[in-house]
Amino acid sequence: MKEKIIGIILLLMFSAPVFALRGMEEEQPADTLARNEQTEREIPILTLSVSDIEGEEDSHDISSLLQGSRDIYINTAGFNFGSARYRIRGYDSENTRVMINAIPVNDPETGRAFYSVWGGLNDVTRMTEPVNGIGASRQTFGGIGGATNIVTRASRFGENTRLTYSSANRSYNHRMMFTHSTGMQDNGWAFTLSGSRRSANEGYAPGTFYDAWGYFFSTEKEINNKHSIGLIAFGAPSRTGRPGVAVQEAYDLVGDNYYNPNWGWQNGEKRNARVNNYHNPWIILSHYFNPTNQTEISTSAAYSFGRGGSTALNWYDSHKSFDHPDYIFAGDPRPDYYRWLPSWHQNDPATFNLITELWQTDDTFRQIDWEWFYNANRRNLFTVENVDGIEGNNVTGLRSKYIVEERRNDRTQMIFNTHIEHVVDPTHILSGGINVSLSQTHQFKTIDDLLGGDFFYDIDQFAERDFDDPIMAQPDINNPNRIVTEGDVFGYDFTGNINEYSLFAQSEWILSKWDFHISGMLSHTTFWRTGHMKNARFPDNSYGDGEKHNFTNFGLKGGAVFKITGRHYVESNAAFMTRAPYFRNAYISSRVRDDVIENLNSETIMSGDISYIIRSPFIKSRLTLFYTEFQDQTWSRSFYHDELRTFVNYIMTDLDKRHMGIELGIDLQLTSTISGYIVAGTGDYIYNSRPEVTIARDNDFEIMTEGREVYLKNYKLGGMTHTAGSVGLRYNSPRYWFIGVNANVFDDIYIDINPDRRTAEAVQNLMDTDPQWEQILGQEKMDFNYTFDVFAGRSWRIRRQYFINFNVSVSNILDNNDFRIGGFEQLRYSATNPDQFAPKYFYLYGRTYFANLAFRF
Amino acid sequence: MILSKKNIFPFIFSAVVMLLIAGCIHDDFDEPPLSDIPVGTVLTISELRDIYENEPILFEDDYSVYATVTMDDKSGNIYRNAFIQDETGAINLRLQAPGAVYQGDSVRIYLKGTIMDSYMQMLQLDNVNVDRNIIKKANGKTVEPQLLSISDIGSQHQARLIKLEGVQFIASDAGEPFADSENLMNVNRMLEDCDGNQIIVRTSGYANFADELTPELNGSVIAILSQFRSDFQLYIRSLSEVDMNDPRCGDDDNGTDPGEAVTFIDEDFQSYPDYAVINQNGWMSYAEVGGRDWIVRTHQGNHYAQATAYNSSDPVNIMWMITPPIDLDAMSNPVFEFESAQAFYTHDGFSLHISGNFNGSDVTGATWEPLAARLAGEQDPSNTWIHSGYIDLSAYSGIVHISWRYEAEEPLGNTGSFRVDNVKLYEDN
Repeated sequence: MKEKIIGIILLLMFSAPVFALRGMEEEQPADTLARNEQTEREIPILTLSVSDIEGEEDSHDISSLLQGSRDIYINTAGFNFGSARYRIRGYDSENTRVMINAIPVNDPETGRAFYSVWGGLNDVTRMTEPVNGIGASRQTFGGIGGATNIVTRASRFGENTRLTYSSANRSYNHRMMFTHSTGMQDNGWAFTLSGSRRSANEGYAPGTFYDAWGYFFSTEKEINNKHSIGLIAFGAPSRTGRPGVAVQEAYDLVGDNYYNPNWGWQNGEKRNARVNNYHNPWIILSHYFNPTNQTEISTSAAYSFGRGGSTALNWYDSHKSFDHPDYIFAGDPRPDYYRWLPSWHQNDPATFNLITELWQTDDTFRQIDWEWFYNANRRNLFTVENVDGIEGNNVTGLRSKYIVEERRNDRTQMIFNTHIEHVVDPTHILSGGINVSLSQTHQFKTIDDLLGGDFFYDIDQFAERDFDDPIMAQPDINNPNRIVTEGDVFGYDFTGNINEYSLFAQSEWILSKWDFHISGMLSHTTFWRTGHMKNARFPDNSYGDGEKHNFTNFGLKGGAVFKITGRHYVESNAAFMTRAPYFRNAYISSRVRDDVIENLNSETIMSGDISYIIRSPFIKSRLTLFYTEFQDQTWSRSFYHDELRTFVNYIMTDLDKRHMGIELGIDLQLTSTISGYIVAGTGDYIYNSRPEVTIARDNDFEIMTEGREVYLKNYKLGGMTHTAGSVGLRYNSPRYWFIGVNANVFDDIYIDINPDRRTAEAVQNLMDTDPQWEQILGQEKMDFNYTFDVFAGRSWRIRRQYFINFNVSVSNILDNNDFRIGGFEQLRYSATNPDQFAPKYFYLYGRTYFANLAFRF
Repeated sequence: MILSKKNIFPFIFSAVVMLLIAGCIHDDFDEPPLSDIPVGTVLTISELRDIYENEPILFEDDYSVYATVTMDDKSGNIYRNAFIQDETGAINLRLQAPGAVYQGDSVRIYLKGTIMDSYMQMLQLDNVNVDRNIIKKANGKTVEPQLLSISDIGSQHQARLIKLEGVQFIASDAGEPFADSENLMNVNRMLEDCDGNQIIVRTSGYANFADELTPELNGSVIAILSQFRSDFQLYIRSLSEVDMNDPRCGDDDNGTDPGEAVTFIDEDFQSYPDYAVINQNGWMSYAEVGGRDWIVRTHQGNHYAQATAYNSSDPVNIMWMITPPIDLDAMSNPVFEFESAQAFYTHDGFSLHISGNFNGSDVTGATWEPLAARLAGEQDPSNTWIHSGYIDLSAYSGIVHISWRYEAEEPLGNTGSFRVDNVKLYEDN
């Protein structure tokens, strides 16, 4: 009997990887995706050079969750393609709802799900209930990209102790995890405790580091056979140094496509200026109620709090230069600023050659020069007069010219959620739920490091430049002439309040020949801004509560499965929904004022798919066609506009997108020991309208341009791979080892375009035969590329009670270092010299490995 | 006991493991030591200025100058410039980037890497990087301006903070904007004292007071003294240092040129240095279009006035050279004569005029009649002085001005030069 149980356990252990072919040890595709975050351009940039667009938000991909899926296509797309920025159906993560114990954890401000919330807690986030696309979903209405519920009830974990060590050369080098679950004990209590640690002194990209923890606690008390109470608490504090993204010229000069401009030497150590620091713990209290065998009601109250932060250099009065007698440019302290590149000096061969050599050889030139900052700060004696608006309160000290600031995004969220499932009869299942989410996102800047100075003087440099009246440069006239030190809030300070009330219901019929499902959703969203500073430029609409904006939205979806035979199915689904605009996109310049874009409307989403599915012992296959339209989206960015010569807010409305494509997944059990798969997906993801743009000056209310038409229609969506395919083979030895290989191909990767280059104004002085015409309007397509991965593993059973699993995988085994997985055109753009602000590119990591040793008893 | 016995060990174990895996990532960076900027040899500004001998000097050794910043570029009136002064003198700093030093900063300038050179007669310390070359010792120090009169001003006062008393903007420049903030253009406004001595107040279109109007009354001005070729120019730091509330002096009742009308001229331009703009003794040059003025050039010891558009950055140049006011009522047989020459002849853009209603400043507003004379032209050999003939002015009366007008269009290749010398007005007895 005992052997039988162990046999079953072993069978389960090895069959899981068959379902999830590469589901060896939840190796995190998100890790290799660390570079992706650079394209996330959600927050308007605040860098004072106002040139480059850089990401601020650590928007980790959530594709690792997809490995829980038993669908080979979804699974492979999440695992093998994720690192090449493949997104299922081309959707951003706001279209996928991620839940932990049925509590949605998508960020209300952006709609996005952040992997960092539960990062490292792989042992306890393994049990997922995924919903693909717009299929039936009992937990939530979901997004058009589906939904995933991570099951974390203590009673669902079997008794188990697990120790894991992993070694890798990706974003982290070491991972240790420990998990113990008691299972449901005789006394009615169940406990699960898990902890993890991920670290790297330097990750794959130079100058990056990784310093992350994870903790998880779940307990459940079965009161009687109808009632249980559960408490779940978890968090994942993480600090990571960010990799960089640069123009090809910089990569070529350094000779490294992973060149990272974010770091520099300080006292012989590599210091990264862009550090993400996140910790968003969740506490979920749940009541599970089964009034009858046919009915389940779970009710939860959840609370989340914590911090999100991303550091960056900031500076005032920079005279950063380079100690070379022939070189006399001073200014921007970022080493990859365009004026530091040889291309800026093309007409001056001597300087061109000098800089080229410095780029090729000198770390103090091509990386951040921290010591320069310290030295300059310590010599910059300055007197601030009338500090805090107190006449005669003059403070003299070392005024930091260069600082590291942290841009914070601290979310507090309360959720009340109740969810019901009722089995009317075995062929008819009803489900539904109510969700109330109240969230506040506190956004502000603090001083992270004064770099040797005594204080930083909090004034708005752009306002100081643009207005003669010095009062206009005050970010907060309630506290004028502020000097700030480490930990102090400065620059901007406001809260985004977002309240959402939603309910959904679904009815599902499971019949012998047909399955049907239909569901509906209704929601109400209210958001408003609360300012904590009274900005001198906007004294009447920067402080206190702003206007409330209300949106009522609904969604409908339905589908059917026709069972031709027990092994052949045809499935089709359709969805129609509206979605309130996200807070992040609604405001013209939420940092300083309460001003939403004109005609702020909900967007409309329509989606449909049809699939042919085969399920047999030897082949599992799915072929799907899908079609989705997003209508009336809003797109808002802030950047330095070269033509208008000022910092602007660039807001496009009536932006439509169309996603259509084909998904194919074939999972083959060739022999009892050999399995294989074929996966292919191709899509056509395009802009589908000519949006109108409003360009507003950031510093005042002036609308600089209104109703400018952007000729975006039929441009491809950037930031993702449109076509990918994979073939894999795996041998499972009966003697508890396996080995496998797979080949992946990628194509149709397009650059993320700058809309302002697709306007009549951008080409007004050109003829369509001019070479610049195509240079400005064309959309760059990246090269076709391919990778090979191999993986292998073995497991041992010791004295019938201890189990050891070892596995290793090597990705991109041919070490292809020239695989551009994406790029974006800089928003700063010079009409006279389109090459001046060249695109920035991301490259797939070269050969990387991941090895994992797990001990279980 | 909610935790069964067999689960106690794993929980304790877990706690221990959690502690063990507390690997550490170093991220608490030591502050690097302050780099040493050696003092080296200390120079006064006067000593520094004395080093200059008409050749650019790159400082490669350790030298320091202690001084106080008298003007920064915060107001926008100057850009990437600053002025410093000590008890012995002052000098203009040209910065690698804007800002970063402020008026009242007491600084040590470390000279290594900087370059001292003269630009259009103005001595400058160039290539100054505030992060690398300047150590601030104190803030809020004031330097008292040196009280001077316009006629005393000389190159020895370059870059100093000076104060002029009893001055006013000339009638045509009073009540006008300091500069052109619309087009961001510099404007020169003329300041005069009650003796008619004049000096330029130059203001940038970027100055935060560019829009403000120049005062119409008389009073004092505190400013930095700059030099451009032979012209001295004042840069105002702040409008609060322009204090003009006293009644004007010297203006004629009719508001015309306050300069004294003459009955005798003998101008050979020998008193002007090479490249100087014509502006002495009541003479003036006026650049109507383009930036070029009539200037003095020299050849084998002879100084003469020249107009040329050669190598001009402006497509069109129209420039006038105008005599002092001539009082014909005080003369009975006025005769006018001069010599002219042409060089690199390209076009016929040179003419002579007379006006009876020129007010001394509004050149284009006056009525200029052609005045017949023999002018150097295409038929004459280059570089050869041609006498104008004796021009009888008795047909005119009252106060008149005589002018030479030069016009050229660079895109048409009309860049030839015309010269004037030995201008004489006298009574033909």
